[in-house]
Amino acid sequence: MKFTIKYLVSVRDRTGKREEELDFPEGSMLKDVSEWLQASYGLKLPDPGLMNTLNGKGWSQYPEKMSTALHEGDTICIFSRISGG
Amino acid sequence: MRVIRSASFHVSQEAKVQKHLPLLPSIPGGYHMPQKESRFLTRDELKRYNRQIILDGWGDDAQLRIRNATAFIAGAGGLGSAVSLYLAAAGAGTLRICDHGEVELSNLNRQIMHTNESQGKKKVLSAAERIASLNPHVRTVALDEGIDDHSIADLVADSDIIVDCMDNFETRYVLNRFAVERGIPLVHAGIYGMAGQITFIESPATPCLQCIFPEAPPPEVFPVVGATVGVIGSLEALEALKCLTGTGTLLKSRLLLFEGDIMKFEELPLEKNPSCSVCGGK
Repeated sequence: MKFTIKYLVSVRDRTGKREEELDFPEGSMLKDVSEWLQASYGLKLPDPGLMNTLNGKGWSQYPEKMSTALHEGDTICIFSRISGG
Repeated sequence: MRVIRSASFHVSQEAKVQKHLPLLPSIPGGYHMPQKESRFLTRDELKRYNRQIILDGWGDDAQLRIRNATAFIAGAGGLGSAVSLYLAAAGAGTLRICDHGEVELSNLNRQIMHTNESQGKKKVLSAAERIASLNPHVRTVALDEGIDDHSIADLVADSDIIVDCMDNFETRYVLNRFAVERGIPLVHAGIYGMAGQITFIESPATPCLQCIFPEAPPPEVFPVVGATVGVIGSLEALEALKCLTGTGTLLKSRLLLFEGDIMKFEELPLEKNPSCSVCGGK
């Protein structure tokens, strides 16, 4: 099951790339992505300084939270919260 | 609350709205300002705004809508500078600019509404003077006040739109709650270094700020390159003008992220949160 993950703003500095396509087994969930991100880049989620979305909606807004299932073609975005003005 | 107005012409009308607010002397400028109710542009206005009036879909009608409009600009810093100057240049009728700070030397790399000579002045006073010199048709209501749940109704008053130029999420949440409650459009933006973000909120049609960012990021001293607030502030001003004139397509239910260091824009779709503590269920 292929999906896209984007690392935007300062998150890009930690991953060294802006986007990649991942291929996880069917039935994978957000917590699997979270574990993979920590193992691969040391990104520990949730992080109060970061925003994580799945198809435009914050991870925490999904009723199943970290147990939300991923689907083919999904897009995950991880980006820093921007507060200045 | 200190209230400073750019034209004595409108003081009495304003005083009706905010009877309890003390009035301070007017800022020079605004003497050519036509009455808000006028249905025609003056010869001077037709000439000043010609390059936007000739834009397809703009015309005299859109220009009159801008002139009759009031925008609440929350913050007279980096974003507030770009937003205020472009709305003033475009002929916004009234700008209610709110900021409780004074101009400091460390502001001047990005807050281009203020000058070297503005140091030590109240930002809203500096803003009112700058706007009066840029466009005397614009009325500036300078609000030297902090924004919280108690003060916001008087500060926003009869504004048609709220433009978020703040530097912290706590105050942004105040703006958002009020905008959702009163059904006022809200342009949200933020910046960090060479990056920025912007979205147009019009609840209940779009997600509100609390839907998009349920938790405030930790407070911090943020780095910023002045040109970044120029980019994002200009986009905010454009969204406000499109909203006020009814032209173009607004940035609704979309978050536009700007990564200036690699010069890329990313558009993220946004969804409402049905259980949002501010707009949920609406």
